[in-house]
Amino acid sequence: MSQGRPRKHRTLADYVGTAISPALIVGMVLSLTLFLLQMIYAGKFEGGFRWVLVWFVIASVLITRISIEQGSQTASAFGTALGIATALVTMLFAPETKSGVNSVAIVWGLMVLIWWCSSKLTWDCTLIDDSQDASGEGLLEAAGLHTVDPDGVEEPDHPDTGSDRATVYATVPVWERILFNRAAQSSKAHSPGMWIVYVSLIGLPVMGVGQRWLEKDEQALGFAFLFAFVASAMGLLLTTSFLGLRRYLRQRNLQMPGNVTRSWLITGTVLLLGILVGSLLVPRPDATYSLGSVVEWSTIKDPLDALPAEDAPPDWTRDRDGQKGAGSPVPPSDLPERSSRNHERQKLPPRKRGPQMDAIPKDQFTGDRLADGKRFRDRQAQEQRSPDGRFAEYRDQRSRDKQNRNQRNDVRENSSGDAANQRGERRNVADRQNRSREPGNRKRAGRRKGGAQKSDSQGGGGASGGGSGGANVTPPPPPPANPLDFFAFDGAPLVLVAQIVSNVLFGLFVLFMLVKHGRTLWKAFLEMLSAIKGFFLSRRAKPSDDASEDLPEEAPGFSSYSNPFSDGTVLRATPSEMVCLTFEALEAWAREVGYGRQPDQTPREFAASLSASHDQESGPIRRLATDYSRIAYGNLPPNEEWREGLDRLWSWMILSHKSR
Amino acid sequence: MRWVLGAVFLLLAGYLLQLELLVYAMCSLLGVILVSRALAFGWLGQVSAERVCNRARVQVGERVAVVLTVRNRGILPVPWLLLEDSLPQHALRQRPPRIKIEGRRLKIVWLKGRSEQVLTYQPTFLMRGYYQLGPLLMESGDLFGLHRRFRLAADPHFILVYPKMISLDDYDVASRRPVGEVQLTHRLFEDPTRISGVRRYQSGDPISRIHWRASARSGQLQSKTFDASTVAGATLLLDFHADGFPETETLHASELMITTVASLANTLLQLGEKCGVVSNGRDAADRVRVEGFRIEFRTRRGARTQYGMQDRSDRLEPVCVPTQQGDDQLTRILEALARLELTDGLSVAELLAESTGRIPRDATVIAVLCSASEETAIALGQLQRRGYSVLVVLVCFDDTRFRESAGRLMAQNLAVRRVESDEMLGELCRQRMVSRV
Repeated sequence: MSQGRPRKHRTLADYVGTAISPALIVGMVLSLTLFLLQMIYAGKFEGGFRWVLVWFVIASVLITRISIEQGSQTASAFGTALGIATALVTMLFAPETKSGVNSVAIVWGLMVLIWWCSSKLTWDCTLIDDSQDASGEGLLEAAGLHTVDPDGVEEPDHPDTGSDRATVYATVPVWERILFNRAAQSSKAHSPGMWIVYVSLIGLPVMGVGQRWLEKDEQALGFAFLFAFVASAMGLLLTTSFLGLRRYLRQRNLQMPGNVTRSWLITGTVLLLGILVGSLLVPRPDATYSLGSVVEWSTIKDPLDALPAEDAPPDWTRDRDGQKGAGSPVPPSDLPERSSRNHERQKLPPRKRGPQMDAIPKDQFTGDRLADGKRFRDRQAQEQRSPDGRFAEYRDQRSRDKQNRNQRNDVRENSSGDAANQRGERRNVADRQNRSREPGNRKRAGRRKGGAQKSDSQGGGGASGGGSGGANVTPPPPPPANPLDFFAFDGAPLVLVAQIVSNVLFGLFVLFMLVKHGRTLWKAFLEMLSAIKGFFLSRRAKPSDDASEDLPEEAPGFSSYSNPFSDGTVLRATPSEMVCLTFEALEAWAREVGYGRQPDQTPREFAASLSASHDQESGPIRRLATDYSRIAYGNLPPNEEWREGLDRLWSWMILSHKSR
Repeated sequence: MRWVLGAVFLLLAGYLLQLELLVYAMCSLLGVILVSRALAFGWLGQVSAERVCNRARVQVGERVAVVLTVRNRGILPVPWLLLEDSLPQHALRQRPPRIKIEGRRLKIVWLKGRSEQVLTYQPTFLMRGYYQLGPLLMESGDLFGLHRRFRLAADPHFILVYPKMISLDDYDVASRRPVGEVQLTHRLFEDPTRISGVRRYQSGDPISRIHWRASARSGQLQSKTFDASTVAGATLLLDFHADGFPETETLHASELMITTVASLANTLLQLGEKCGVVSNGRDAADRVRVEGFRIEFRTRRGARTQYGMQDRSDRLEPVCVPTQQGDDQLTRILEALARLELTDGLSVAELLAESTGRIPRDATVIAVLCSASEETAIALGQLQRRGYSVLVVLVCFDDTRFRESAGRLMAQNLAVRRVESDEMLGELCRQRMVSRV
C-alpha cells in the first residue's frame, strides 16, 4: 500500500507557519507581560523597563528555538548571559510596585514567568516533529477539558487502544499537568498547541481581574494588551493547528491540497477577526471600545472640535492640531505644565481626570476613552521624542504624582472626622459626575433638562473649579448608580440603533444558548457543584483516613423503605418496579438480620439461603427471586402471579424489623 | 462543560464588578470555544456519504470497484474533511497481503456548500476471506484545533472471496476409495424417488406403494421396492485450531487446508456424491458488528474500535455444513470455507464429541489436519472404531512434524495422506497411502 510510496515532506506553507509562530508567541507573552508590568510597576522607568522586557521576551523565544535546533547546551549559554544581563538591568531600574513594596523579586518572578511561558509555548508550538505520533484529538479533548460527546454520553474507553495511559492522564488534574508537566510524564502523544490553551486559561482571567489594579487612565492600554493577547493566542492556535494538521496528513502520506490550505487560512482569518470584533460588540461595562463609540467615531469628524480651547488639555490640542495638520506640536516646554494639569486632574478621585471633561457637550462622547488612548500615545511619542532631560523630568513628575497619590490615599484612609467626610463627599460628587460621563449614563445626562450645553456649562465650572481644587461647585443631583447602566443608550440615533442592534443580538444569542444548551449547562452546573463539594469534602476527610475511599457505598437500611401496599405505590408502579423494590427491601432487611446477600450470590442462591433460615416465608422469597432474575437478567416481565404473597412478605418483613 | 460554565461565571462576575477586561476576555474565550464546537459539529453533521460497490462475491485475484460519493448538504463550506474508507487492517498488514489497493481510499478534501466529492479505489483480493469495506470514516475539526470530530458514514459492504479450488483429475474412487460408495451398514430409510424393483403385494403395504401399471399388466397387485436413501460420500473434518499450526506456517498451511477441502468437496459433488464440512474454525460472519454502533467519535482510536469487525468471537459452535447432495451444496461449502478463520476454541477431540451426531455414519470422514496431537489421534481412532471410515490428510511442510503426526495416527490404524503443495493436492488420490488397514 502506502509503504511503497515516498514519504511526504514539508513544504513552503509549513516553513512559513513555523516562522510566524515565534512572532505570535512573542506577541502573546509580551502582551501578558506588559499587562502585568502595568499592574504592578510604579517606578520611574516604565518605558525603559518595557523596552527591556520586549527584548527579553524576544530573546527568550529565540533562545528556546536555539535549544530546539542546536541543543540545550548552546541555548543555556545564551540564556544564562541574557538572564544575568536582564536581572542587572532590572535592578538598576529600581522597581517599585504600586503597593509601595520595593521588590526586585517580583520583577525577577516576572522574568521567570516570561521564560517559562516562552519556552513552553515555543517548544509546544514550533516543534512539529514528524516522527512523533499525532494524537488525532482536539486540544480540549487532549487536555481533558472536554470529555462529553454531543449526546452527553461519555465515550467508552477500549482496552486495546492504549486507554490505560489516557485514563491515567485524564486523572491528572489540569493544574498539575501545567505545573509539573505531567503530560510528558504520562507519555501521552504530544498535541501541539496544548500550552496555548493552558496559558490562555490562566492569562485571560488574570488580565480580566487585573483591571482592578489598573488606574483609570491605564485601562485603554490594558485593553490593548488584552486585545493583543487574545489576537496572538487565537492566531497561534490557528497556526499551530494548521501545522499540526499538515503533520497529521504527512504521517498518513497525504499532502494538503492548495484549495484546502487556502480555505483553511481564509476561513480561519475570518473566524479570528469575527470573534475579536464580535466580542467587541458585546455590551460591556465601561467599554473602552464599543459599537457605539465606533459609530460615533465614524460619524463625528473630530470630537475635540467642540471642546473650548481654554478647557482642552494641551495634549488634546496638540492632537487635534496634529490631525488637522495646521497646528504645531506641543513644545517640550509644555510637558511640565501638562504634567501638572494631569496632577491636578488626578487630585479628583477616583477617576483622576480633569473635570474639563464635563465641559464637553453631551454629543462629544468620545470622551475619556478615546482621549485616554490618545493621551497615552502622545505621551509615548513625547517620551520617544524627548532628546534631553525632559524625559526624565516628565517621568519624575509622573512618579511623584503617583507617590503623592498613594500618600494621599494613605492619609485619606487614616484620617477621620469632618475633613474626611468632606473629602468623601467631594469624591462622591466627582465620582457621580464622572459616572454621568460614562456611556451608560450619558443618555440620562442627555435627558436632563437644559440639555448638553447646560450641563456642560455647569461641568465647565466644575472643571475649572476642579482644576484649582474647586470644591464649591454644586453639581446637579446625580442619578443613582446602577450596575446595568452600560445597557443604556446615548442620544445619537445611529449610536442608539447600533447599540440596540448589538444588545438585541447579544440577548438573542444568550437566549438561544439557554434554550439549546440549557439542560447541558444545568447538568454541568450540578456537576461543578458536586465537584466543588467533593473537593472540600475530600480535603476535610483527608486527615482521617485515605482508605475510606475504598469503602463501598453504604446501602440504605430497611427503615428507609415503606410498605408499597400501604402507601399506594402499588397503584402507580409497574409489576417490574414493584418486584425490584421488594427485592431491594428484602436485601436490606436480610442485611440487618445478618443474612445479607454475598457478592458472589445470585438472587436465587440468596433466596435459597434466606429460605433455609426463614422457612415460613420461603415460597414468596423464592418466587420473588425468580421474578427478579427474569427482570434483571432476562429483560422479561415478572410472572403473572408475581403479586402472590408479596404483600404478606412486606408485612412480615416490617413486623420482623419492628420486633427487632 | 465545567470550563465553559466557569467562564460564564467569570463573565457574570465581570458584569457585576464592572470589569470590562474580564468581560471581554471571557467573551473571547467563550466565543472561541463555542464557535469552534459549533463548527466542528456542524461541519460534520451536514456531510453525508454513499457507497457503491459493483460486486459482493468474487474469486481470488478478482477486483472490485468502490465508489464513494460525499455530499455537503449544507450551505456552509467545510474547510477540511479527511475521508478514509476503512479496510481490515490485518488484511493490509499481513505479508503477503490479502488485499491490494489501487487508487486512494484516503483523501483530504474541501467541500463547498451543496457540493460533492468522489472517492474511488479498487481492491484486489489475493486470498479467500470475508472482508468488510467501510464504513467511511470522516474526520474534521475546527480551525483552532480545539475539537476534532469523527463520523462514520456509508454503510459497510461485505465481500466474500471464495477459496481456490484445484481439480483432482486423477481422483480414483474405485481403486482407493477414500471417498465414494461404501457398503451400507444400516438401511434406515428408503428413498421413494429411487425405485429398485417390483414385488408381489404383501398385506400391509400402503396404497402409495402399489405399482399400478405393473398390477394392471400382471393382473395381480404389485408393490414397488426402493433403494435406501443413504448414499456414500464424505464429511470433511477441518481442524482450524490455532494451536495445531506452527507459527511460521500458519498462513500457508491454513490456506492450503482450505484449498484441499474445497477441492475435495468440489470433486465429490461433481461425482454426484454427498459432501459436508465440519470444522472447529470461527465463522468470520460472527465478528460482524450487529450492535453497539455509534456514529460520532472524539478520537480516531475510538472510531477504529467501533467501525471494523470485532477482533474476537467467543462463539464455540462448530461450523457445520450438513453432509448432503444438491446443486447449491458446493456454494454453501465454499461460503463456509471462505469465511473460516483460525480459532482458539474447540480442539479436534472436543469438536468430534460435539458434532459426531451430525456426521452420517456411512460417509467417509476425511480429516484435514496440519498436525496431529496424541489427543487428536485418539479421538479419530475412536471414531473409526465406532464404525466410521476415516482418512486423514496431513497438510504439513515439515518432514519431522509429519512423521511425528503420521506415527500417532498410524498407531490408531488410521489411513494418512500428505499434502505439501497445490501440485501434490492434484495427485492426492494417486499417491500411496502411508497406512491402510
